[in-house]
Amino acid sequence: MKKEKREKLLLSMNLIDEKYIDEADGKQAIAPFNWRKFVALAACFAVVLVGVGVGVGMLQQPDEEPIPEHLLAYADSEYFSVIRKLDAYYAAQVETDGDQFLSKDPVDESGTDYGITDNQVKGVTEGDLIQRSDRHIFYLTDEALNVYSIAGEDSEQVGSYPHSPSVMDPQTTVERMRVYDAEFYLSEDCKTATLITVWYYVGLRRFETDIVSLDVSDPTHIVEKNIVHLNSGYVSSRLVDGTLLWIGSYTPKDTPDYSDVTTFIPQIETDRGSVCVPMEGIVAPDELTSATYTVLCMLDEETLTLKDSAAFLSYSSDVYVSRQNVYATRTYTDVQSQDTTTTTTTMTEITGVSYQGNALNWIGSVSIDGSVKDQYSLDEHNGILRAVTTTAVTKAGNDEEGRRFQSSQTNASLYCVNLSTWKVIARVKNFAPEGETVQSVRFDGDAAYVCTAEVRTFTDPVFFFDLSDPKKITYTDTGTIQGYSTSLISFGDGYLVGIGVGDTGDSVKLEVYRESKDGVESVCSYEVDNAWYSTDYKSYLIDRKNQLIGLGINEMNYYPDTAYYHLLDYRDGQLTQITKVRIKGPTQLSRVRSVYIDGYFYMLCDEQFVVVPVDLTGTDQ
Amino acid sequence: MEDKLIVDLYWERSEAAIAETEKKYGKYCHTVASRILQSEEDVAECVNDAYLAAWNAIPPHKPQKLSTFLGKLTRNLALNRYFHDHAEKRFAPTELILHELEEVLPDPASEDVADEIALKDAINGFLASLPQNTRVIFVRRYWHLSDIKEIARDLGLTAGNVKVILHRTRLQFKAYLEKEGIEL
Repeated sequence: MKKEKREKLLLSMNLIDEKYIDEADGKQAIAPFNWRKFVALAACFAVVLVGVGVGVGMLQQPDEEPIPEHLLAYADSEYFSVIRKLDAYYAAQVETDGDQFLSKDPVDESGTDYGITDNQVKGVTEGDLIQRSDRHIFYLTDEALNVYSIAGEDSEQVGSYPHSPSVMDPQTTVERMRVYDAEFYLSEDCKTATLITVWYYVGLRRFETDIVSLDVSDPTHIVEKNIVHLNSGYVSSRLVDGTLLWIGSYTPKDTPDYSDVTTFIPQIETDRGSVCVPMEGIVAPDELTSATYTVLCMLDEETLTLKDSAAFLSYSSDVYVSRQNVYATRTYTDVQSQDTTTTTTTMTEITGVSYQGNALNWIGSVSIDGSVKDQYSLDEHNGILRAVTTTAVTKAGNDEEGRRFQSSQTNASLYCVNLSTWKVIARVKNFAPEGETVQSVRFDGDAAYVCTAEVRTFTDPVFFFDLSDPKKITYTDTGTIQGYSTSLISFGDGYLVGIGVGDTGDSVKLEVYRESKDGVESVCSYEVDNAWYSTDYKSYLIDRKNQLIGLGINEMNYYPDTAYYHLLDYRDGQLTQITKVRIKGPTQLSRVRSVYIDGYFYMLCDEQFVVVPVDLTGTDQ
Repeated sequence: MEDKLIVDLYWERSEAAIAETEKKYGKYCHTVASRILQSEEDVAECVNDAYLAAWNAIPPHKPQKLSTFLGKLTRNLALNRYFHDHAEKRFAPTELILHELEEVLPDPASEDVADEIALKDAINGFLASLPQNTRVIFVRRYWHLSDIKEIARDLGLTAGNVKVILHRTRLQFKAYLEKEGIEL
């Protein structure tokens, strides 16, 4: 007993605050306090302060915007300032095509799907750890794809397709371990599960992906049908009308052998052999900022036959998929020098690829200021691509006195791009308080909700944009609210739920907002102190029909054995906890999944399967 | 490469994240693990497990300081391995540290159950009350698992000084835990 307690005490040293660990992580002897040196330094500091106070008043840096790419050719013209103003004026006008956007009936391309996963785009299914049919729940653990019956308190596991967590690869004899990035899909007829498994090759430090098609028509006897192997790590995927879009990440070796394409080009391995992404399918800028490819493959869901592939070299993993197109993003910096001042602006290039038919076709590119946070920062609606970015501009140089200066500004901007011409037709620049960055975005038809925040102070406003008329984009906001949201969820009827942190950054906070004529107002909130949560959107239960929200919350500590799943309902202007289920750990909150079915709440996390009867008529359980 | 850029690579799910982590912190993780585990093979395996654990944890985590984050991961993995694999035979340096900590265990008469929240507050509250030198010595010994001679050398003290400081601090820690009503 004593031995276990002292071991526990040694392990509990992990509770030491990081600041003390950092303090002790040094090789320098801690010198005794030197009073004479302190007094001398204090005197010098006082002199410097006075000098800076005089100097600051003399610094008057003009607020210059970076030069757009299409105007660079005219930068030396004596009329450049006029050119710039005219260009800005014409750019603010909507193209004549804009009118037809206004006359179209609105098409709801965003919102929920009917499955458990709250897909970003209706009809574009995202892979997940959980799926269901009318009789079974399928859940993917690190060890297996498990199948459970939907039978209330009599629910039980009825089938399983096991993996081994660590195996020796028979071909290379190198040990490989499965990582947590796996997801799967269930076909519409619920007979086929498409499983995506990511492997990490220990020693080689390389990731590869297997896509496995399983016959789950009899959950008690799951059979493997087909398999495809890719030499890339997994980023994301989508299932649209029987076509699987797989998105991966591939980085060549540090010193590729250019006589061997397999050392620097992504490959796809099927039972028919290995193929490289064709040259015509590779998109790359003139100057690379990284050697990583974002790889895109189109596969038939049933047979896993490869239809087409493409790769975006030097792109990031922020990919948005609409009903027709895949949009890949690449962040880079645009550096402009004028006199002694260098202005560095973060830019994003968005490239669109159509996946209609059986082929991937490049459709266009556009560059906008700033960087996107994630897939939710982009949205395609009625032929317009909308994007919200965090803009960042840094200026450095010498002032008039010859002193070195550097200043940075961040803000948020919204852009609308006409997908027929790939030109920016509307923009709202720098709409947030200076210094804030985009924390979450949600597009919902003609509306956009954006949460920005000054992260150090844990405050945010939430902005509501009316995008119904690109000629007249209007927006309102909540004003400064304590805490900020990392995910925004539209609940319909003008209601929005934000999931994020509270005002100290040490609490988890859910907040309901409502759009009103005076702006966006907070309706109610639910907060758990001394807690943290997963920012993985798929780990949240979003049940609009039953007005339910659920998420896992770790009430303290990095290794959670005090994690709970909080199930809340939104009713009568209140967020109320219906039930709270202990999550057995240690586990990752990002792996928790749940669903409400006919009076029962089902929660799954790794090997844990819990069924709780839930009464939604208003009484507590 | 800056920590922020390495963390960005994890968020982008780029394999380069692990390569860069190994380049910058491989030696550090190896040092942390080797203070606990005896065999070089176990140390290497533990470090690899730490890289994989980091990959699985980021996102959603976004550590500000990667060295501390990786150090914690490696330390815990190594300790768990040590306790699991060497129940009977102990690696002398780790066993010595465990033996030292016996002094901190409260008397068995107390029946209060340790609460992890209270324990964290107690540990950090205690550390905040210490002079900096003493705190550094304590954390170096029981978090970084540093050798006494190494601590003495780095802080310009004798090994004897460090031993006395550690002994007194352990007694103070025990009294602090008892006052807070915490039992393990």
